[in-house]
Amino acid sequence: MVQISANPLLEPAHLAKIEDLHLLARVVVEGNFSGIHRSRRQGQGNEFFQYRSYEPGEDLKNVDWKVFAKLKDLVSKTYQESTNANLIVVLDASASMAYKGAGSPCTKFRYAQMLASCLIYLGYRQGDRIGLFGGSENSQQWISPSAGAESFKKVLYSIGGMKPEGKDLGDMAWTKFKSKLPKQATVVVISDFLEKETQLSDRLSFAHSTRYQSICLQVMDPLEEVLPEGDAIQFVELEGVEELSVSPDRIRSAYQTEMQQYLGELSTLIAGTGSEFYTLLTNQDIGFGIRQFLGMQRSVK
Amino acid sequence: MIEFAQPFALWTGLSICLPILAHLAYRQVVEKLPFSSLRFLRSSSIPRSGRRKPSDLLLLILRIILFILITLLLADPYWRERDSAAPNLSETKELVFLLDASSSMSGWGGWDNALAEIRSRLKEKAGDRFGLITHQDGLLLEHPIGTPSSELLAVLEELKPQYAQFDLQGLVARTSELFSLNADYKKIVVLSDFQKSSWQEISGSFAKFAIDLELYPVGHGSELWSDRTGNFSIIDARVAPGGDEKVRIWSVVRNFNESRFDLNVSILAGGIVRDTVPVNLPPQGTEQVQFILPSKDFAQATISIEGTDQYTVDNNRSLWILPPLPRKFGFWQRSSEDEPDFLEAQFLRAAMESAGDGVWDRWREDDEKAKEMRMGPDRASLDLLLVLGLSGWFEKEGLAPSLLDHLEKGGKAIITPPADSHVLMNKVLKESGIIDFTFGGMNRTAFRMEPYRFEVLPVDSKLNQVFLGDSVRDLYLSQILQFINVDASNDLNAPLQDRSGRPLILSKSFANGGRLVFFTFRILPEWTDLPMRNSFLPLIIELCDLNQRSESSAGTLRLEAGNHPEWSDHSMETRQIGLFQVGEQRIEVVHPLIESMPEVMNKNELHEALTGVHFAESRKQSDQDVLESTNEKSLWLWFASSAAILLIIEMILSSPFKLSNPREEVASG
Repeated sequence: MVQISANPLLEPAHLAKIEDLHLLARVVVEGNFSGIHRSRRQGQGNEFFQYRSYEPGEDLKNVDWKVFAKLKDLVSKTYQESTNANLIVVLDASASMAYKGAGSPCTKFRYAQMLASCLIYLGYRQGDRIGLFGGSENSQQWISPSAGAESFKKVLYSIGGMKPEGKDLGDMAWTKFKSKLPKQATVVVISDFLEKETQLSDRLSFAHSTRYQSICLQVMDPLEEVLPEGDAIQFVELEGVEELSVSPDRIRSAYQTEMQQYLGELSTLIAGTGSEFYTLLTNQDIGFGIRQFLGMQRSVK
Repeated sequence: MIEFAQPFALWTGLSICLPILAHLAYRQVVEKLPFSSLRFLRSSSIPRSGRRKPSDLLLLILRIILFILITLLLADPYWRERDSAAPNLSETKELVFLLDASSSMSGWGGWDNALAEIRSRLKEKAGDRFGLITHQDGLLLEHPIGTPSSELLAVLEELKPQYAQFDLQGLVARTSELFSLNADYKKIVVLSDFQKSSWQEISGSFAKFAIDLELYPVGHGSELWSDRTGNFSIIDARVAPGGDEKVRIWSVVRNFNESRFDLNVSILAGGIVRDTVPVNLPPQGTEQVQFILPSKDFAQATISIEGTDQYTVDNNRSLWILPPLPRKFGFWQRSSEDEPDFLEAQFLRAAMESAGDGVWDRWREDDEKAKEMRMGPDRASLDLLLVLGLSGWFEKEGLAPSLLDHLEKGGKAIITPPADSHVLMNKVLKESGIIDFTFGGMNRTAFRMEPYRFEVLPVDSKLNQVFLGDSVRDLYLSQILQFINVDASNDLNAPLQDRSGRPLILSKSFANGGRLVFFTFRILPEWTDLPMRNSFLPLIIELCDLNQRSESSAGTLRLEAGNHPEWSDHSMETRQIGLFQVGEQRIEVVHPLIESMPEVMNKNELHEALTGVHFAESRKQSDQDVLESTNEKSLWLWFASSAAILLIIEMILSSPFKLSNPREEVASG
């Protein structure tokens, strides 16, 4: 199931070293996904996109006459045409996302941050209106979707500022979030989906509607699937205060069975809401997630 | 050498199996791992095989040591210097036996116990140096330290409990001086019954001299240091005239038990038991027993409690049952036969001979002694001297010093005035310092006039208490026909006055109970009818204070064993109980009542009194001089601090090993 990318540039082990999420997103998207994503619509938009040399037959109103006056060269201005598409990333910043297994390149949250940044960048490049919902029980962030570089920066800044702590977003926050959803949108939920799966069908109820498409990306640490090695370990719950001393070697097979069963149930549950569901591991090529996202968009458009 | 004050607490040492069991049963999970969710984890047993780390073994050893330390701590360890508890052969150990030889030691088997204990210690610890201090025959008896055991054993054979009381305080004080200066270990073993009456005021300061004290109670078997019971005692016995040629002997028997007892008390006289009386004694109470014996058949009798009790010495009491010696009176008067003097002497002789109870308390004229006294001072003595018609003859014979000597030795005297030459009498008495008054002429009742009479006695006067009812009326009716008028100086007492307030009788007290009574009238019908009245004899007895009979001057002298009485040129040491006669003086030496008292001292109190150190302090205070004297040092603090240090090390070692905190890692990443 796990496909490790052949492209070393997409390996989280390397990407995790890039502090700046903007740069990271550009490196990932521009370097690996140019051409794959939907092309920019240029035309009558409000936002300046780029200069290019005038081509005969083109509408003269596109020529930038101020540049011609200086350079004596015909240059036409292109504008990015904004779309009506909304892209909203939901990022779980609960404490359980802070887990980093021995041997993993980064925590689950860092992986989620990187993934979210790339998706946001993709959306920005496509001229989508970008929004963010996320955080934890204690610090919730909501940036309503809007287009443009400012909005893109704001969202990226928000993602970079999040810290995994506390419980996950509560039902109240989700209800509020759903009430603020635009009329149509693409919603990407990035979480570990290890708690409160029973509330998921309610939280993702909007996905039943054809106006919304939703994709759930589950981020997991490889060790969460197989349990850490050890003779006797006292496990401390990250989100709570519980502690439990067990011998992981003795319960490993039972744990794995239970975990697989849970993942299966979770997949079924999320599919039932009309969302797509993928599990990503933190040592996995980050492009996998992006491809799933793009694939979904292609299938829709 | 470590010793323990609470050796039973060592049983808690069994608790060292607790850490061993704990190490076998539990394994501490030291690795902590933050994990995203515990919901898929199921609890499981933890394998014990991993518990073989060196740190685990170290912890186990540490914990065992900790438990051992706590066990020793509970047992209250202290350090006793080897040289004090078990001296080396090269060190000198001196031991003095202080043997109480008071009379009560013979009861409750105490004496034999004490001797047996000393003998066993003398044999047992050959090599040490011994001394013995006790008292015998009223003298301190000491055998200095270093006396050979064989000699001490021989001495023991000759010792006896003493009836006489002894100065125990002196004995105790002397004991601490017996030790040599360079002794390494000094100890006094006091062997006594610790009877409260003997020991309650004794104090010592043995602790100051670093002398170890052992109190070894003897007598009274298993109930050491408790009140002794099982004693009956005759605590008093008296003899009194029983009338009709008989004497009445009564005695008081005391029961020192807490329960009622029936006893027989018998009297032995002339070698035969004359009478036996049953008595029922209340608990801790007394009962009187009375016997009647013929008065002239026996000189002595012995009262005995039949049967034996724990302390037999006080079960018998011997007493003289002869009547006491008669008291003696005599006359000084003009040597030539004189009718009024003769008549006056007759009146007074008749009065004196009828004084007393007729059987016991008799008066007898002793003319010989009276004459001897006229020879000069420091001669024989009379109980009462009657000087009749004192005048020129008195001065001529120079009798004033003899009279003064008699009075100052406690004798009594009556002086009557002469028929005439009162001025001379006045001069003689004044100049000799016998009595100081001024002659003021004669008072005579004129023809057909009322005679002088005694004034009514003041309510609070002693005579008023003596004459009550009819007898005082008899006194007031007495006629004084003539008397000499005296102007008395202030230091004279005028117990009787006429109704005009003039003194009729003067009295003067001297040292040692001497009493001079001066009549201002003669005891003759021309002067007064007083001698014919019933009140006359009691008046003389009372005025001369003749009821007070001193024990030594007549009758039987009763002494407790141990007293050193002295009386008229005689003295005596009373070491034995019994009846004695010295000259005319009959003496009863009785068992000291105090030795029969059954209370014993409280051990702690006595220990405190003798060592001079509070007993509780000496146990509790681990420092200072008390323990220095016994060379004990408490190790409690050492053990407690070691345990505390070990506990801290244990806590450090047993705390989980520090893990890197993954939360912090995430936050920074």
